[in-house]
Formats: sequence, C-alpha cells, structure tokens
Amino acid sequence: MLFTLGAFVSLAVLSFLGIDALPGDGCTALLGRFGTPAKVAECREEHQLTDPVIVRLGNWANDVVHGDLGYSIKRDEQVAQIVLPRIRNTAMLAVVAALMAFPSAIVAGLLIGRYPQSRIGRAINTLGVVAMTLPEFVIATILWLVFSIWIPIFPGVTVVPSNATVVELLPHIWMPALTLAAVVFAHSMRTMKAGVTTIQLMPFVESARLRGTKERVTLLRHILPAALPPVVNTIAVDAAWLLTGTFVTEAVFNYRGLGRLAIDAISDRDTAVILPIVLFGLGVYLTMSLIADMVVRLLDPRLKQHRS
Amino acid sequence: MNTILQFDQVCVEARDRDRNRVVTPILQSVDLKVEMGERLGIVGGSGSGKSTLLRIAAGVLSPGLRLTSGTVSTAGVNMLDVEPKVRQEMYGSSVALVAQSLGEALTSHLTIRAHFRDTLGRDVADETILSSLDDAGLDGAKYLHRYPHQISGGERQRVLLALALVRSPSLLLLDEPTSALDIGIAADVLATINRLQKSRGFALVCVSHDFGVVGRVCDRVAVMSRGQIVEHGLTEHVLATPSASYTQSLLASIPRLHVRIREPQLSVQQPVVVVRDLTVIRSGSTRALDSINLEVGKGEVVGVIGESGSGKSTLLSVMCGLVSSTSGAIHDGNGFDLSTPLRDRPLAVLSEIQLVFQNPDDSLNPVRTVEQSMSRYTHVSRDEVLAALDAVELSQQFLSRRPSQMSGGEKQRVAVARALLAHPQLLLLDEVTSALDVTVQASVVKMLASVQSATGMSMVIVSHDIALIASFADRLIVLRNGRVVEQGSVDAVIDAPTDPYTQHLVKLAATTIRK
Repeated sequence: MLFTLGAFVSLAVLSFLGIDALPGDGCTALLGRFGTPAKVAECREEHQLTDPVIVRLGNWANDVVHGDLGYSIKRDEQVAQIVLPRIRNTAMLAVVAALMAFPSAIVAGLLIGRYPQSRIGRAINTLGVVAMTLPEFVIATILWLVFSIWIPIFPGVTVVPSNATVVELLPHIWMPALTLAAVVFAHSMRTMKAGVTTIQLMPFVESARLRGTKERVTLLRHILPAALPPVVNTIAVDAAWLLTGTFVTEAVFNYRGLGRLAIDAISDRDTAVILPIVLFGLGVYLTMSLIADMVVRLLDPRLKQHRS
Repeated sequence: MNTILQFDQVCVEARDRDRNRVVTPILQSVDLKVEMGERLGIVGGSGSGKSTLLRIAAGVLSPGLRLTSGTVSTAGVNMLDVEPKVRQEMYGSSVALVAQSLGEALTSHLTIRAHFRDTLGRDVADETILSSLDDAGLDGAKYLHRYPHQISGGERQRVLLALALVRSPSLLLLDEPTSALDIGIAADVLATINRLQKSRGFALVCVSHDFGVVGRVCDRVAVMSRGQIVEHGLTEHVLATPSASYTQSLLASIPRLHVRIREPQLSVQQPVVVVRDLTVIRSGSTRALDSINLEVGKGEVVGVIGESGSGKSTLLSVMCGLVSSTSGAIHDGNGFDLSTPLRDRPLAVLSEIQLVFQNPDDSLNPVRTVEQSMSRYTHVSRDEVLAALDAVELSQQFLSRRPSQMSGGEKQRVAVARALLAHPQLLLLDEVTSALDVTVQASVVKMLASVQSATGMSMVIVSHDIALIASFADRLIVLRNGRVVEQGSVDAVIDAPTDPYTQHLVKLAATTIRK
C-alpha cells in the first residue's frame, strides 16, 4: 500500500519533469505559428511559466493535492471540466467491455481447458486468438460491417457530445466495447486454459476425483480457484489498458473518451491537459496491480499466512 | 462371491511418444486375487510396475499406457471397460485410492472441512466429519477449519485416510502411505491403518518399496520386478524364506542395525573440522541448531541422525558455507574460520569440503552431459574425470550421457564423482540414498565405503535411517530440535542408547522387519 503510494508520487513528479522537458508549452500551443517571440514571452509572464521548474512543480503539486487540476490556456477552460467527463466516458466503456470479456473468458478458458477435444471450444479458441492478433481498427471495421451495415442494430459512429448523459451515451457504447472485449478476451481465456491444463494433472485433482467428488464440484471448487491467480494478473493488466489505452478504438468510432482527448492534447502540446491524463493512467495501473495482489492473496491461504 | 479385486492375465505396455515403435512392457501377465477383508502388500523397486498395478485396480490408466490383454475386476466391475460415470460413482463408495504424494493430495485453498463437504455434499453435518477424523486418530475439532499447509505431513496422511474411508468403501488402495514421513510418525500412521482395517473390515492393497511397511499392515505380500509378480505368499513366509532371487537380494539390501558395510575405525586423528557451541537462529527465534559441539577427525565417518526439522541438513549447510552461523565457532583442520562467507573463501578451502545433495535430479543440470557437468567449471583434465567416474564404478560410456539417460543410482554416482574431482578432505552427504531403491542404496553405500577406504577422506553422512548409518559410520550423532541428544561410537549408541528418543529410534529400527 505504502509502496504503491510512493511509486505514484515519484512517477507523478517524473511525468511532470518529462512533459516539462518537451519543447513547447501552453503559450506556444495557444499562439501557434502566429506567436512572435515577444508575444510568447508576454503570455508566459502572464501565466507564471517563467518560474524555475522546481517552483512550478511545487505549485502544481500543491494545486493537485487541493483538488485543482489547473487551467488549460489553449482551451481556455478548467482542466477538471475537460478531463472528468472524458474519464467518465472511458470508464463506462471500460466497464462494459470488461463485463463482456472477462467473465466469459474465465468460463470459456475453464471449459476449453477441461474439454480440449470439444469442437466449439476449439472454434472459440481460434476466434479469440485471431481477434487478439488483429489490429483494433481491423476488428472495428469488421464489427462495423456486420452490426452497422449488414444487420444495422448499433450506430456506427458516436454523434453525442462528450458531456452527454449516460442514457444518451449508452446506445453508442456497444460497438467500441465489443471491439475492446474482442481484443482482450483471448488473453485471460488462454491464461485460464493453460492454468486448467496443468492444474488438472496435479495430485490434488486426481485425489479429489478418486474419493468420489462430483466432477462439477472438482472443476469449480478445486481446479478453478487454483487456476485463477495468473488470470487475475492478466485481467488487471487488461483492465488498466481498457481504461487508458483505447486511443484507436475511440478514434475509429468517434467515441468521446480519454483516448481521443489524449491524442488531441498531445498534438496541441497542451501540457496542462496531458498531465492529469498521465496521472490517471499511473493511478489506474498501480491500483490494478494492488487489487490483483490482494485478490491473489485471498485465493491462496498460504500467502495470507506469509504476510503475518 | 467374496472376491473384491481380481487381475486376470493383465498386460500393460508403454509407448514411447517420440519413437512410436518402441514399446516397453509395464505389466506382464499379472494374476492377482484379493478377497473381502484381506490385506495384500505389493513390494518392488521403482519401475517395477507396482503403482501402475494399483492405479489400474482403480480404473486409472496413466497417459501413454495401454492395456493389451487381460481383465481387471474391482467389486465385480470391469474397471477399464466401463462408462466413466459408473467408475466415478464407485470412487469413495466401493473403492478408494490414496495415491503417493508429498502433501500435494489435498487442495491448498480449501479447509479440511471443505474437503469433506465436497466429498459428502454440502449439507453434511460437522459431527460426521468430526467422527471420521476422530477415527483416523485426529482431534477433529482442532482441524476442521485448518488449511492443508497448516498441518504436518502425518496429519495430512490421516486426513486423506479419513476422506478415503468416510463413505465406507470395501476396498482401500494405498500407494506408499508413509514414504514421505519420519520413521516414528510412519509407525503411528501404519498402526492407525491397522486399527481402521480391523474395525471396518475393508480389503486393503498397500504398495510400497519398503518391506517394513508391508510387514506391518499386510497378511500376504506379492513381490514385483519388471512388471511381473516374482513371488507371492504369506508375509511371514516370504520374509523368512524368500524363494525368488529378486526377493532375496531385496531383503539382503535392507540395512540392519548390526550388519556392517564398513568396519568402524576408532583411532582419533587430527580433526578436519571443529565445531564449537554452534548456534543458528532462523526466521525470528527458531533455533535450527543449538550449541552444537562436534569434531570430525581425518579419515573418520560421522553419521548424523534426525527426523525432518531436527537441523541435520542445516548442520551440513553451515559446514560448507551455504548458511551462516548466528554464534559459536567453526573452523577447519588448519584453523581457517569457516564462518567466512562462501565467496570470501580461498579456492583451497572451498575444495576442502564438498557436498552431495539428496536429489541428483535437482543437482545435475538436465541439459548437460556427464562430461560437461564434471569438467565445465573445474577445468580438470579428461583423465581426472575418468578417474573420478572409475572411483564411483561408472564406465567411460557415461561421459556422453545426460541425466535423463541414467537411473537414479547412476545419477547419484555422478554427483559423488563430481564432488571427488575437488579432492576434498571432507565429503558431506545429505540423505544421498533416500531417493533410491533399497538394492541401489546398498550398492551406492558400498561404493562410498570403497571410496572412503581408497582416499582416506572424512565423511559426514546425514540420514533419517539409523540402520543405514550404523552400517557405515564410525561415530553417531543424534539430533533432535537442533540439539545433540546423544553421541558416541556406533556400537555404544545402538547397543546402549541413553536418550529416550534414541532408544525409540533403535527399537523401531530393530522391529522394522519381523523375522
């Protein structure tokens, strides 16, 4: 816990310094190619960008701790108002995609591992691997063709603004969510499958069967929990990716999430907006690893004891 | 019909996966019959087919094996030719198998109670579980909510017994029920098996490499070698007058308290290692070793006896520098301080003391040939390698073999030969024969005795088997909970042990085989 917090703080400072070192700042972004050196200098004076980096880092950290994410000179808006709705949209997309992908991946992995000869299982495995291998925009295009053109049940492009209500947004979420789910499904499914394949050969599984434990009970209570820990870690990494790495999919479907905003902000060199996005990503990855560690500890009583 | 298990001309073969044509016979025309309530033991070395036979009795044929002829009938059902569902329903209710395992037969994430509930159904009353555990000699209430890693090896074996018997099967199959247990605990578990068998009357088939185990729980014994039953009869008769030559060599190989492989030498010479008040404290306040005093003289063989957790392996680890001592002094014959960390020891001191580990599968690199393993880091000539191999009675042919192409005994010989390359003054042997068959063990110990007499080097041999050590060492040290409870010459210790624990060990060793 303490380690995670420490990691977050030091990584946040590193990102601030890293982004600061990039050429350009809010003023060059605002003035663009019309910015004469004199104008830029004037603008910098106005927004306290001439202070030494250590002072600006201190000010920024102080503001962030007090809940103020800063102000975007380029967009002339509070950063919180730009970023927070986008985080909400991306989080919704991530949750829907996660619900589509992870439970089904665990069930599929368990069954394919247990019944490797099954034809349906092999088909699902192959499809999953294909989806995992293809670039997102290819999957998106295929889904688009199928669900928006041949069988038009989902809208192909998001046409609502980024601050639309959840209800307005919901119909537009299925296509990008399905794309993302297809990408991550095979990771956890295959980890699960591999786990089940090896766990099945272990003495405790045979021992359970040989004392007359029902097959369903053996599968669900003896094999499943033993195979889960590596899957939990895979899911944690994938979940973090769903929250931070969905640039391409959001762009393809014109979905107004964090990914789109990040691309725009980077091309604008709008450092004020980039920073909270980077921080959010940091927080997501660290939180997910922390959760994964805790879940794995819950699954294996031997680890619980080592801690005390 | 009172026959619970019948094998009729059973042949099983293994197909080599890579070279599909190569076929190895595993069982050859095995006939066997077990009546209701009977107790049959099956004894044989590793690879004799005894475990395969036991598993087939439960209808389990490991991958790669194939039944080529014959029938197996368990409780009137042809186990290998029946719907998997029917077989699954027989498990626990008519036949139960407790497979050999080193504590891995229980599911680590489930409590003992959960194991019973999974076997008996969710609505089983705790009283049923408690009485079942009670029967197996465990105070049930204490164990109900424990996880497998929180109980000892002996307790795990008792839980497995209770689980196997909880639905009253008429046939219990046991594979090496005590091979992972200390000798005292093993005797207790075997006594429990006997008591349960008498009170419940199930038929018992018990497989073991150890005549001692079978002698305690079985009326009849079948001796197996290379997939065949070479001898079959009442346990007492087979033990007293074995007719098959394999049985004879098996029985002759079992170490006995007063049968020497090597004559003890009692002339005390200058020491090669001196240990004074050695204490090792591990993980908090556990004393792995507590005030140990020990001297090993030049050319002397010291045997260290103790059960698991007694500190016997730690003692070796301190001597060779793998574990550092907490207090006390340890130095070699020249007065060099052996508490110096391994990387700071000069080469001459490093080569003085060599260690051979328990399991050669872990200490030999599986991808290297014997020659690579022996010459890679030692920079010795081929002649020296050949001389070392010759000392452990291996021919030149072994140079190009990898571990997978050798038997357990051959691998252990290579491990010893590798240690000899350093021309050590002191050879540390950590349970070097415990993974080997008893006949192989006898030949390896003989080889060690001849190496010792040829080189005159000192040895410290660690084992849980007092009879084995007494047949080989000059002096014995008995360790318990990190303390030396008894030490003296071999004769003094085994003829007149003073410590109650040693007395117990000697008594167990003396009664291991009823003759």
